[in-house]
Amino acid sequence: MRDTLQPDCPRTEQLSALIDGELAGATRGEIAVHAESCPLCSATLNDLNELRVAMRSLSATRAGLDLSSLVERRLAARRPPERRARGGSWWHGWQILPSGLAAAGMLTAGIYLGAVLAGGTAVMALQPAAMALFDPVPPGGLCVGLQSCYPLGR
Amino acid sequence: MTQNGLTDQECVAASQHGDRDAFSTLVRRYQDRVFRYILRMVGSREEALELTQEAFIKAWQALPDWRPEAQFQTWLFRIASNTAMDVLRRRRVVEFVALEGDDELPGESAGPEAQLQAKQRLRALEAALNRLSHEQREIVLLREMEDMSYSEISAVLGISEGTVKSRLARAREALISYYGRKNA
Ligand SMILES: [Zn+2]
Repeated sequence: MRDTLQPDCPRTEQLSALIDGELAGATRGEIAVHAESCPLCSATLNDLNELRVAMRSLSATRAGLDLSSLVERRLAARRPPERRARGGSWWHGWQILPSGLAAAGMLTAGIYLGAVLAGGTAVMALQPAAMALFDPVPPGGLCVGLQSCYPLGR
Repeated sequence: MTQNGLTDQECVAASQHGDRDAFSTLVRRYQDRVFRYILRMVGSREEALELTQEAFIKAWQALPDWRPEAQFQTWLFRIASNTAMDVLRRRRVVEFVALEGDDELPGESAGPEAQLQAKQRLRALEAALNRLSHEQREIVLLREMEDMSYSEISAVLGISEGTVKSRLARAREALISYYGRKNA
């Protein structure tokens, strides 16, 4: 798409941000004015808007059953999440990192045994038993405990 | 959302103290959204139902790390995204598969012909979505299906808003080229 752009045509990125309402006031005005008079850009805007309408239909999908009772049953077999009152909670985030990474970090730091001794019950309680259905390795990439997981500037 | 009289933040705070009823409220509140997001990522209804439960269990486990400054919605979707991506990464070769089932089609009140057209458009859209990279698919779903702002998507995916803007535009260009004007 957009293979015969005019020199002053905004990039698709700008048009895409325009329909999302994510452009700052001045830029928004400029691009909207250009798109009105440019057949190429207005065609692109049209495509973007049609895609949006089509995608909306996906929002109607429902699980079709209440998963809360199933989740509840699986949680009932566990302890409540323990808030780590004792000082050294700094290592906790590793429990939900990919296990290889966590193990590597713990070995490097030489604190694996110490962590188990200090917080062994918490470690056991948080072992995701259900994961074993899929893979002995806990799913990776979870880093909800880390700073980077939170929105910037909040 | 203040269903059951409690906001998300209040439910999370209670859940952090082990209140499973409060957590169940959150599950009921978000299960459809998490399910349909995971469904569109992994393609199989059965797998999506299982992974949705898994995502909530992981959220429960991660509750001690939740901070009030994090929006519950974006925090939960980050977990859901990681859950789906993890499965897709391990799946490697095998890509699915059109979704089975005729439920949840738009325009159920319309006539049979209009319904058939809607169904064909939906199938074409699904096929186009499946041709996107996982990263492109998830960002377009978060924006178009979940109606998240760039700042919310940035929090879910852990990328800058600038990257959200450019990745989303690439994803939409690709999707339009696959889905095409023929379906418009
Ligand atoms: Zn133009």
